[in-house]
Amino acid sequence: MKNYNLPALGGGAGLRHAHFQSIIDSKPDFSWFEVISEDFMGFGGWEREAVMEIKKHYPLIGHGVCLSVGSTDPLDMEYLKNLRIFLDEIDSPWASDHLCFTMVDHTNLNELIPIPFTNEAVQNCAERIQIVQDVLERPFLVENVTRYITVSDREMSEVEFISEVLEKANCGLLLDVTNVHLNAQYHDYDAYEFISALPLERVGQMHLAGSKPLASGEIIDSHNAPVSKETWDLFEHAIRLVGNTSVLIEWDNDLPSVDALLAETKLADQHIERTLQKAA
Amino acid sequence: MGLHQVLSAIRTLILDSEQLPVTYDERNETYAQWFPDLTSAEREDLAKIPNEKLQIYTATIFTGESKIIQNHFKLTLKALIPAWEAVYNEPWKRVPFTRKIHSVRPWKSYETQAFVNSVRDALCHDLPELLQHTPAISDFARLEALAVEIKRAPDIEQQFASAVPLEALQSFTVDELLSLQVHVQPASRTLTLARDIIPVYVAFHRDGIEPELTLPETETHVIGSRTPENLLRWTRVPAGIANLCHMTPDTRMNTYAEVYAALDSIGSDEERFTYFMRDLVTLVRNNALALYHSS
Repeated sequence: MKNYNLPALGGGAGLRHAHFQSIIDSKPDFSWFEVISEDFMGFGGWEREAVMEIKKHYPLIGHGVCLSVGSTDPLDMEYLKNLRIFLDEIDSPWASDHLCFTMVDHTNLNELIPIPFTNEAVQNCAERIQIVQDVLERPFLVENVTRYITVSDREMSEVEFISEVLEKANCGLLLDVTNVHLNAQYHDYDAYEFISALPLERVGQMHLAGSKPLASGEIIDSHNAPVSKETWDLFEHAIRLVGNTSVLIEWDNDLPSVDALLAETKLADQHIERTLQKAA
Repeated sequence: MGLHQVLSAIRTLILDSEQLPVTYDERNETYAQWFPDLTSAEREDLAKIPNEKLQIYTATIFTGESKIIQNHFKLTLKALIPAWEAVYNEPWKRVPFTRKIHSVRPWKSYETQAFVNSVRDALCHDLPELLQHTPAISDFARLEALAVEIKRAPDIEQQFASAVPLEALQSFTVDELLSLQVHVQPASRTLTLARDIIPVYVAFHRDGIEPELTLPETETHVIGSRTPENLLRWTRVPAGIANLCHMTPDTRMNTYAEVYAALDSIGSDEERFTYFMRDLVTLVRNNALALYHSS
């Protein structure tokens, strides 16, 4: 199974409000856009009109940040219903969210918080993802998150945890290459070995992002810079193993111009092409 | 004990604990008191997490929330920041302020509107010392929170026949006028303010004029609406019209006569009719109401 049986769209970009008008006016040569579902689902007004206008010219893929598949709060079925409606409206062929929790005790943490790598958490995530897939009725991918902490690795490693969840839930993986690169630095492991150990037949999409160091010199996953050389190298490793896919350039802060963002997506295409040519 | 207790403890450590014990042993001991339901292994796992790593989440969460506040409460902050500095005798800083809001009204839903409403409610009900210093904060917060709701209100498919254009009214007979029905548009919202802050709001948001913060109390009813061009409009209306619009779901019409009757507190018939026509035209022009022929 190649790319989890999903279309390989090549380099794409995250659709951000500040770029709407420019994209509508000049229709730049993007291959596709990823849309943060919660920014639009259930909304009317200008933002919705803009997304629907952009949809006429580009494939849109819905990506969520609030599903909280790792939580122990009950799944928010109203949220899922609204998500399904939105994904239908934008004709999103697949959907994704993060393997983490964002709410617990009915409180929104507004951040992607890692979960313990335990059997109980595997079971909990898998059961919830199965419900999500039933409601959304389209392939669903979970994304590996950046994690500054290890909540627990007594029972299994991160790569074992991700693999078990994917297997038990029978879902796909949105492989965030940057997150693997950063986590390898934070937790002192080999990023290349980590990717090689994943069930790569389940990868249906990838994410890439760049980060400027903080004043302290520390690097967090801030999505505010071009992709680093180290991450491009790791990305080529992933492409060698997975083959062609859809890869998103995530840029959320200190947004570049539309042209600069487009150039970064074309760079992703070049890395894919070069890697696949070498492998052929 | 279980996954829920672990996740709940992480939430507490990230969101609610300003001072965490410094060493592993201190954390292990303290977490035993804070989280008695955790097993010793779970507690040891959490104690192993360095404070500075947990605090990355604390910082990104409250910075993210403070950006939402700064984005949606620009006018309110113009009133709030000087009030804060006068009342607490310390500089206003966005992250401690956001933590304070979180401590009284945590964000309870995935929706941004829920967070915006929590901020509004905290400012209107939980920080009385600030309101005592600058009472208009409450009106500013309520109006700006409602603006977010109106801008993003769902576009509901119009289920009625096409609306009667305003220009057509001039040629209508009195009977035709009285047979019209009035529909409250789906993105319209009503609000009663203690002060007339609409001119201040418009001058600030449209022209960047610094707001006057000491405003006299004058009960003011407004209807906020979104035009077809997605522009936000505020229309001051008499209490009767505000109540009628507030009480009418967008699935039903009011008759013209019902709308007219809502103005019964206004003087003579002539004054009432003048008021009625002027308000109605403005509300239709601002897309707060639409007129339809009765079916």
